Amino acid sequence: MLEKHEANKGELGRERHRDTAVNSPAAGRKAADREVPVPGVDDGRAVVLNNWLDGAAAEADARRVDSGHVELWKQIAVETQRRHRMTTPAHLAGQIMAALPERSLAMKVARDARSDRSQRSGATTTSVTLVLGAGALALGVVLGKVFGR
Amino acid sequence: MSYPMALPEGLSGPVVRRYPSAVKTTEQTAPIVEIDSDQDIITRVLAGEREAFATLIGRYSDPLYRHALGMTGSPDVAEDILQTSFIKAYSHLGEVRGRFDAWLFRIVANGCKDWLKNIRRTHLSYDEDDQPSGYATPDQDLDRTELRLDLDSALAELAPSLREAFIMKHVEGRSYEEMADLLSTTVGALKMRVHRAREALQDLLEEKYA
Repeated sequence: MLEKHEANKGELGRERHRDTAVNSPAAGRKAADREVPVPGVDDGRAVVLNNWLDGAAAEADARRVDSGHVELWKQIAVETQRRHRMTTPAHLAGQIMAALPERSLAMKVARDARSDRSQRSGATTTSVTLVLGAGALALGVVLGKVFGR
Repeated sequence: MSYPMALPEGLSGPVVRRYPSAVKTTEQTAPIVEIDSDQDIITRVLAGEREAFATLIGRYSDPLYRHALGMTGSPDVAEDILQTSFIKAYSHLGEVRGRFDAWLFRIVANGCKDWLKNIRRTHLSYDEDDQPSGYATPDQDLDRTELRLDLDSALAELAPSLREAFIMKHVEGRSYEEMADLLSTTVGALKMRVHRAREALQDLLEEKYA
């Protein structure tokens, strides 16, 4: 686990206050997904701050341990809120509707498949009828000859 | 959906006290109105009522647009991804099994990831801001624009999985459970991604803003 952690340690996955991570060969890489606890990151300060950001702690608690980052996140929140209010450009819905294929491929495939099945089914029924008819005729001829003697 | 940094549903565990979200939201819960279910609409579209698909577009385009915009940083690319995704969804509507919104989200999310794999971004901007400014002075507007650009640059530095988790949590305002449902992963894994994304953003922005 530690090896995986070290291997994934990138520029942004570095642990706070650890210069070794910054100077490591992996420092230039982007942070990869790492789902193992990172020693040093989950300190009390970070936990309280994350709890506050997740709505599970009061701002006063977060300020007590890390007022600088609380201010930073309040500024970031102004921007994320603005983005949250953004809506799809008005023309896009019409543009998408106009670009839709006349008949969807899925529907076409489904209809074609149904059509093929019914055609095959009809052909099968006709063939069976003909064979049965021919068989009955042959049987009739044979029986007629036997009993006709 | 609540916004942002909302109390995560079902994460109560040992936490007894609950606090208001760190950042206030103006979004209110809409009154319950009888509306056609996604499945009803899909049935109508498959029966040939093409225009019914517009209802699905209207229902889901905003959150999906925000997701694509957050992931790509480009309004034009976000529009393209959205259009391609809806057309793909329309063409394969007969194959929907389970929740349509989750299925559609995966199409858009995969479109964003494919774009990120193929394109190296050189420019990021959020030019579209039809919201009235809440700032009093031009200087403050300038500061806001600067933060906007800095946040874009910082987000661009994150690995796609971290950026996706941050955008879903802080921009789209989704709960961890909703995110886990859409991304087919665990709440714990997503909390870790969001925490790591926050830490990375702090590292990039604190010198200038903290």
